[in-house]
Amino acid sequence: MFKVGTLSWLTLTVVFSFFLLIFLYLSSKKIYIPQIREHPGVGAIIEALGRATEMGRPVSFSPGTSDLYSTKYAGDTAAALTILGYTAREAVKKGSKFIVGIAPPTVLPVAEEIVRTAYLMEGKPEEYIEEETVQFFSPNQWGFATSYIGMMHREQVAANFLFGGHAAEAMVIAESGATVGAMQVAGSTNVYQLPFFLVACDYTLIGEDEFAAAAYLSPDPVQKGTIFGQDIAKLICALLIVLGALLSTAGIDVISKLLSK
Amino acid sequence: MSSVWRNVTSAILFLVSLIILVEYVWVDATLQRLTTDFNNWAVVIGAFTLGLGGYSIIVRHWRMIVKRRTLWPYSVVLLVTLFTFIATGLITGSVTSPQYNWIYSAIVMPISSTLYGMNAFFIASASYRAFRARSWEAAVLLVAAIFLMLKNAPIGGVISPILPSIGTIIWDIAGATGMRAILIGIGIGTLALGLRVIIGQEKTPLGGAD
Repeated sequence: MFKVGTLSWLTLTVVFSFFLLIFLYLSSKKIYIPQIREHPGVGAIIEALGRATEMGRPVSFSPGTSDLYSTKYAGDTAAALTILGYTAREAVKKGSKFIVGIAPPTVLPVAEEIVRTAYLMEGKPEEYIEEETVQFFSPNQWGFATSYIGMMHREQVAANFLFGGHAAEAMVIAESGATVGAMQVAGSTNVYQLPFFLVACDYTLIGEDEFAAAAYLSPDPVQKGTIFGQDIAKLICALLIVLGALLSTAGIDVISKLLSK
Repeated sequence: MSSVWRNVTSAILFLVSLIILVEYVWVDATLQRLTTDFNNWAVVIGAFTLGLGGYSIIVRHWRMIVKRRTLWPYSVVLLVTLFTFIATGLITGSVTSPQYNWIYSAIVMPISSTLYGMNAFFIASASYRAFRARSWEAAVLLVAAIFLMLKNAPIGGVISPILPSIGTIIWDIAGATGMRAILIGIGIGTLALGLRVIIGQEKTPLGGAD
């Protein structure tokens, strides 16, 4: 028996998943690989890494303060870890010192594995230093913030990346990064923290941009198929909103009734 | 991570995700029990990783002290505090003991509150940089921010009752519309990333690289 109020959720999830998977399949079979315009925020990641290399200063990265099993921000953390993989490889390739600051303990072993693999894949495993390249700071929000700020000041980082789920500490970290003179690129799905990143960072990936960036930065072109599928899903949502608004104005509440089932 | 191990991880992830998704929509006692178990396992594994984190902190700061790196005395403070906390917990036998609570409420809480309070100053300095009308977009941001400040600050209503109303319109219509559009995008983006991870197309969050 279906739980009350979940049928519309299931229907939309199945429909959206269908479009996402169909475009993933078409891309993998090279039948249709969508062309995606470059996102300024994604371009800024590459620019910031280049800047750090030119200045000969380190790059810092935070995958957020949310756990991998957080119901609200697990996706955010997963996207941040994907971006971490790309950023680490590029930083190592360019010869920049790379430092990752970790707050949730569950993210620590995963981030260590990702960064260690990046060093290995770039043929520089000896440059990966245990407990130094990936640093665990504190699961406490403010403990993490002070440690991360301290690290940025000590190392005088030239590029700072803030992705994943950040909360109230976002403003303190981002503004301290600006004080150090680091070029900062951030991304978050937390709509309450986005304004802080927008005012304090050079570039911000807003909401789903963070997920799209993860696919965009992937060396596998197949990943880009899902971005096109996402656009189709958004188009369906927009059509439902417009149709629902028009019908509601006319006194017909069929869409809202269907969506509440 | 070896490819065999990664495939095994992907298969487990796929199966567990499927069970949790089905349990979300379907009423079934067995599925509910399984989902509760999975969530409990996640918490237990999370507790183990805290040990890894603790080890990482101790090793890094010990290294900083031994090598007399910049600001090494702070590492001494950190390690002393860490072990004092652990010792207090072990000696009193409880993390709810008055001694343990005293350390928390007399040291950790005030420091956290101070940091949180500092947000106001950071917001002011960041706003000063962001609200300089150097472009058309920044000018729009500046105008919207002025109206919202006048809506929230008592002086806005004193100057004219229209000013808070404009702020309310910006917040309730432009702000809410934009925020909902972002939330819809986030939902679909999360679904897309989740699907890529579940079917094994996105391997980085499992550790390693594509």
